Amino acid sequence: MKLLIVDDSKTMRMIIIRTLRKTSLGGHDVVQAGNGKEALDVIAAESPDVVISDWNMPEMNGLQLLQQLRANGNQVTFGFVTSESTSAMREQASEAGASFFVTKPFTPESLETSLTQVVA
Amino acid sequence: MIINEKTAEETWLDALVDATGETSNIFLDLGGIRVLRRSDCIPEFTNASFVSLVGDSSSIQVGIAASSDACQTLASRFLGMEEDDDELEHAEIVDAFGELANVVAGGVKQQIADQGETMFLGLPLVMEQRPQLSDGQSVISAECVMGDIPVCLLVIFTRKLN
Repeated sequence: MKLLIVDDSKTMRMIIIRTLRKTSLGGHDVVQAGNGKEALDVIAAESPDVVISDWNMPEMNGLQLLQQLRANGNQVTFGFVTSESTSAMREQASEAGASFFVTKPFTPESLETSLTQVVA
Repeated sequence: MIINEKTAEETWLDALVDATGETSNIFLDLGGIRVLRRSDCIPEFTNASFVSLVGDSSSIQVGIAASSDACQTLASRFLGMEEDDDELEHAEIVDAFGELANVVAGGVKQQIADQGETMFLGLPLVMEQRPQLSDGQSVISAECVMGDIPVCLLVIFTRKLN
C-alpha cells in the first residue's frame, strides 16, 4: 500500500511518518507533497492508495484538493490530519468525500484508529 | 461572595495555555506546561511564531516566543530527534517552530468554536526578532516552562476599525 502525506510543513510530514511507524501501518510506502497543487501531480504519478492531507495550506488547501480529485473522477481514499477541527469543517470534509478526520496533536493510537477503519 | 469573572483577554490566554499544554504533552513529550507569570508585556525573547485568528467580532494573533536555544530544543523534541542525530538545519527549526504555533492555534480555535465564535486560521509566521506591537494592538502574555524549556505565550489583539 502507498500513502501520500500532504502538508506544507516538512516537520509535520516527518511527525506523521514517525507516528505511522509506531503503528501497524508503519510498513507502507510513503510519498509526500507540500500543498494541494503538488499533491495532484504526485497522485497522477504515484497513484497512492490513501491520501492523508492537511487542511490549511498555501497554493491549494486540502479541501480544494479533495474537491478537485472528486471532480476529476478520482475516488482515492482521502482523509484530513489537521490542527483545525470544528464541526462545520468536519461536515464540509465529509460532504466532499473524506473518509476520516484526525486532529493535531494526535497520538499513534488516534491516527491508527482512524486509518485502519478505511485501510482494512 | 466574590465572583472572579475572566476577561475576554484572559479567556484567550487560558485557551492558548491549554492548547500549548496539550501539544507539549502529546507531540513534545514534555509533560504539559507550567505558567510562571502573566503580564501585558512583550517578552525579551528574540524568536516568535504567530498564527492569526480572524472572526467577525475579534482579530487576534496567538504566538509562542522563545530564545534561539529553546527554539532548537523544541524543534528537536517536535521531530523526535535522538541525541546522535545530525543537528537540525536553520530552515528545519523555523518550520518546526511555525508548525508548533499552527497546532496550538488550531487548539485555540477549537476551544473558541466550542463557545460559539467562528474564526478563520491563517498560516504560521515566524519572526527572528523581538515582536513589536503596532498602533491599535495590545498584548497579554504568559511566561511558562514546557518541561524545563522557557517560553512565553502571547495573544495580540487588534482593534477592529469602524
